[in-house]
Amino acid sequence: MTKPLRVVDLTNGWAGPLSTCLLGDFGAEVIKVESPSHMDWWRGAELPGPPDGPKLYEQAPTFNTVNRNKYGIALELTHPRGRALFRELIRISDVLIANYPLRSLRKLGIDYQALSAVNPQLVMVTLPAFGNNGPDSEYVGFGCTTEAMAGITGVSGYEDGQPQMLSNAIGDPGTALNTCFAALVGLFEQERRGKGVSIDLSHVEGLLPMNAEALLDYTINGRVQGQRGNRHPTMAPHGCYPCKGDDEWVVIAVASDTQWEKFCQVLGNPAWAGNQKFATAAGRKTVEDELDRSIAAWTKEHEHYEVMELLQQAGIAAGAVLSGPEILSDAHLAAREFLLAIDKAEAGTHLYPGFVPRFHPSAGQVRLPAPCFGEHHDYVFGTLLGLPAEEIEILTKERIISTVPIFPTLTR
Amino acid sequence: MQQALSSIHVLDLSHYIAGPYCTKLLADYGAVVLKVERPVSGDGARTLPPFFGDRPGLERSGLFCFLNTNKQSVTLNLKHDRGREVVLRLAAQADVLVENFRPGVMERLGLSPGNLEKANPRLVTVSIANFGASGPYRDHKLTDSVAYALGGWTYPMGELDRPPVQPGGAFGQYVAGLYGAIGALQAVRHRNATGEGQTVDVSIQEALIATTLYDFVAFSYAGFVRKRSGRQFHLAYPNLVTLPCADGYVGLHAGLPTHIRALLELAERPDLAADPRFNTVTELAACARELHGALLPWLQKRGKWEVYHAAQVRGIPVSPIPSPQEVVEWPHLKERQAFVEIEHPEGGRVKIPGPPFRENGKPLWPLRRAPLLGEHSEEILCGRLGYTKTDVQQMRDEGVL
Repeated sequence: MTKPLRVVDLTNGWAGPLSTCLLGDFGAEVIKVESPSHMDWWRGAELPGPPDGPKLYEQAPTFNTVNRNKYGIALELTHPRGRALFRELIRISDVLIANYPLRSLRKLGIDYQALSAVNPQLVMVTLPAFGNNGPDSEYVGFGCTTEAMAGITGVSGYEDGQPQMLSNAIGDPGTALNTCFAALVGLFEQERRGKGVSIDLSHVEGLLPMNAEALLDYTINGRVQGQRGNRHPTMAPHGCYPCKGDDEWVVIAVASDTQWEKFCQVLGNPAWAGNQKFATAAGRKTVEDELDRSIAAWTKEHEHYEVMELLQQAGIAAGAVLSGPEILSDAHLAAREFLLAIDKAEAGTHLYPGFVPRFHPSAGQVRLPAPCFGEHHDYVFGTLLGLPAEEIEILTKERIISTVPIFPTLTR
Repeated sequence: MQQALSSIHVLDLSHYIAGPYCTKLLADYGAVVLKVERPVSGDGARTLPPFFGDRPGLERSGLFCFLNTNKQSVTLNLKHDRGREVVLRLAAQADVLVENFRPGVMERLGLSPGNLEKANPRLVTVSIANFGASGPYRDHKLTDSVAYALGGWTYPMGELDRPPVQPGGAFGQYVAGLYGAIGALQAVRHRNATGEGQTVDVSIQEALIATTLYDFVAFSYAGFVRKRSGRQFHLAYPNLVTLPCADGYVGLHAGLPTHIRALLELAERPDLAADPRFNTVTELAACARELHGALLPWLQKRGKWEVYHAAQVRGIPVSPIPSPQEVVEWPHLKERQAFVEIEHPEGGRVKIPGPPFRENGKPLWPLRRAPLLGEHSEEILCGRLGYTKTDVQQMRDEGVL
């Protein structure tokens, strides 16, 4: 890119920071704004230890994953001087992403109306959980809340059980992708009309498409889907089966009767599989428990990767159920060099998700690890905003900016 | 109507879900999307449920209807020489080409990166594939269940004494589509600035892995392997959990100690709210059962929407775990017009989720219904490429269209 995009990131947690991380991965200059009295809560919900102890807030894997390629500042927006500096930053930036409702920003005097007076070209995306208007718009939510409100939790869980919370919230990363896309659409709109735009992004609404099949089944046919577990409405066998190792599993999905024949061949055409009731998908669906028990007896003799390869070679979809350490050692991901080792001060070198998507010829780059708290005041206030060093020192003394989190109330 | 992406022309060779969702996102914000479908049978998504009135048919898939709003459809046989000629001429006019064939198919169709670059050096090509364009699993088959398993989503989910359970929905496909749409716009911006075209590769497996972070990153930090913890989000966060109430389940998402305290006060347990054990994240993990036990009697006397509103007005993140029906009928989404109705010749008025975001204070724009198979073939071939009606008839006779 000729002139890099400058993005101000006034977000915390997962959704907002991952959206700006995606912009940073592909060349944008992202400035993450924390506050001296409110660090990004993803640095750790617990209070930091004693001042001379290890800086736990620099060691949170969650925070460090989604904040690479950003400069970090800690600026007190409740102070008039802090707000004035924030407006100066907006003057020289292209995009502001804020995971606060517009009404909260208005109280601080940094809503779109105020900021567009400073920078009429500004593209601003606000992402309150439930959107900027509507009866429940004051309500709050984490990823677990927003994915539930999109109906995803309601269709998750065992087929004989209860709704099951997802173990990695899709609500947050799903919203991150919608937000990143929204910022890019906003930039095209800004170019088209020659002035900025303010976008309302509700986490919940952006997640509805991810549950489209169940929602459409209701709007079109009035059918209310529930939990399906590992089963599929038409495919059988379709499940998660135990393997040789401890807590080791493989998923198998047989999509047609032809695939079923191949499946039986891989198993060595055992006698039980010859039963006529297994010949058609409809027949197999009626005796699924029995079918699953027989298959489990076979998978139990093999490792999960072995089952996956045997079946995939026969043209049947199967996949090892990968744990965290297995993702770190997976042969395919290693061959594609997906994971990235990044060294961050106070945290050391760890592995993180790589770039999605992959661009050729201009590939993504890690230019910066996640910032330490208030790490880049000299660059942002000095180089970008032109403040002399003495003034940065005064701002620090007056706690308008800070390189350590200040906890005004040490109670919870 | 001019919209944000009206200047972008997309040639959409994709099918099923991930690719079409990518181009739907572009189309719903104004991009001119031309969908190329196989003659006779069309995009495989036309065979995916739910169907209007539960009756399958090429123009009866509700899912296809949702995934293809604002697009035009041309049928083309890409294995036929004239089909290839037409598609290369369309590629020459496009800014973005999106495809999600199996790796190697584009080359076999004569649409290798080299040929496409020759046709249009400024073209951005977005490829979405199960496992990406390289590596040992390149040609492996993928279903939603396989994507979740190899994408790291399934292992930590479910009860410890039962098999892991995959999440509901098919969000792997949608997440990959979103990454594709983001990549397309990033690459077009780059192209507009430099004149240089680009290829953009999305692996569905990598897209899913990049949306997790409590497992392999945590292991890289602390050697910690997270085990399944039932209806709790994570063993370390027992305050994120689904619990039964009078008419179903509620989701507690009390992520911060302040939320727990407010929740215990709401559930008429001020004694526990004052107990320091319930006020720190680390100690809370040890007394999870006690916390849930303290909340259950209160929850069992109340409906899920009552609990949701009572908690939320106190700033506690709680959800009523709505069913699909309850999502569609939720007054908040109704007032925000989150769902839109589209008139379809076979489906009547079809209600679908609207675009994921909009400009503050502006009404929703109208969406055009998904195209019928080959609905715009003649219009595009004659209008955009200058073929005559006789040419088109000849191509139809030869099975090109």
